[in-house]
Amino acid sequence: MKRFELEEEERKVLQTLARRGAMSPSEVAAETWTLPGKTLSVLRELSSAGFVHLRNDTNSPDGMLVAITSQARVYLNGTLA
Amino acid sequence: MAASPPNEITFGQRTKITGGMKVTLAVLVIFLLALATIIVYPITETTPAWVEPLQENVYGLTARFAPYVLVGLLGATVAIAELVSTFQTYPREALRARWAWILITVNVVAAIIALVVVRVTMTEMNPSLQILSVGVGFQAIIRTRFVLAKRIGDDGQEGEVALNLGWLYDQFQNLARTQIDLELMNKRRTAVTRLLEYYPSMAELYDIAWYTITARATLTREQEEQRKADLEKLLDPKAPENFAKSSIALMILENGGQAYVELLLTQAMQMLSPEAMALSKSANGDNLVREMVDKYSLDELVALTEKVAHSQKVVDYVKEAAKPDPAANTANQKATIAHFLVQQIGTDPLQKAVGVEGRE
Repeated sequence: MKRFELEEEERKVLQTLARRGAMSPSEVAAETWTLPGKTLSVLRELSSAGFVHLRNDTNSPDGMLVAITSQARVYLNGTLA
Repeated sequence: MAASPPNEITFGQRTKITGGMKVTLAVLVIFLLALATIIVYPITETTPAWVEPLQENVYGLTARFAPYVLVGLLGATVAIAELVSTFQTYPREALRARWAWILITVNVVAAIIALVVVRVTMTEMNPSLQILSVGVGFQAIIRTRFVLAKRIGDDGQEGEVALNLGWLYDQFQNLARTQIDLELMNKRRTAVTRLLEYYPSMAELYDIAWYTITARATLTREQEEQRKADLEKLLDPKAPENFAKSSIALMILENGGQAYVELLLTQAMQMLSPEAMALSKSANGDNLVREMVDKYSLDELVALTEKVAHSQKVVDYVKEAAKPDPAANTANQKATIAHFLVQQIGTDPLQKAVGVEGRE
């Protein structure tokens, strides 16, 4: 992982993914009351930092799937403890 | 989950205990009990005269056949242990394969023949020792490679002079293993296909696979982490979607086993029944989201929100989400609004509102 400081929105997204499991970015946006464009930007940032996996999923209404990584779970648990 | 009609599961079923099997088992138990009763029946003065010769005959017959049964059972146990350790993920299915029975039968027959040979050639040998030497020794010898000479400083097998008594058995065992693997391959493919049919969403498959690995009680922490890392690799955007989904389904099968997959499929079938579909809020919610994404424009979704939402906050969020945004595409915006409305309004009221709009 490249970064270790999470912003509030990033933390909210990660906690949602850790709690709910893999989901589409639109579900993440709806769940966290974040706007779709902002959610995608946050997810791309988190993906490049190795906190989430973001990939295509034709079965999802918005065509994408996002899931938290094990490293991010460990990091989240460490910072919450 | 896909709304395809429920089908019958044709693999991974538990072995059905049929009436014939029950009767056979009962007859066997009664036979063994009768045998034991006759052998241990106390002979007293009041015992009828025919009991004693019967007891002697039964005892003699049992003493004659028991060694063969014992070595046969030992041979079968070794063969079963080999199969179970080879097919650790699918031991039950492997034991049900035709070639598994051939392998077990060959072991049993070979052990019995070995005992016959020992009894004929070594008549002076203690009978208990005969059973032990064949039951344990024979099984070890047919799997052994004796190294008679070894080149100094050579770690490989090339410089060895060896007598490989296990060669023949190795060939047969490899044949049996390959045939069982091929037989199981069909079942594995069926299981994966059915999993993909009933759980088409990659998110759902991924969550099931994650849970399956976490729930395994026998995995060490390192094994669990390795398997989770392997699972995460499948979410790599470079991996083709169908390959990723099939591999995740296979991972569920390998970590959970056939019976677990059967349970998942049964649950999926129950969820897809018309009665369950009527009650299932999540399935209805997913369908509703799709319907709204497919049929509504962003402006229409805003108008729908103004009709059904009781909170200004909800309306404001939807209006903001519907505004043109270069960072998001329309499908993503519509899906976000649809998910948000399902969460905030509820499936039933939203379904009614969408239905009324559709009729209008």
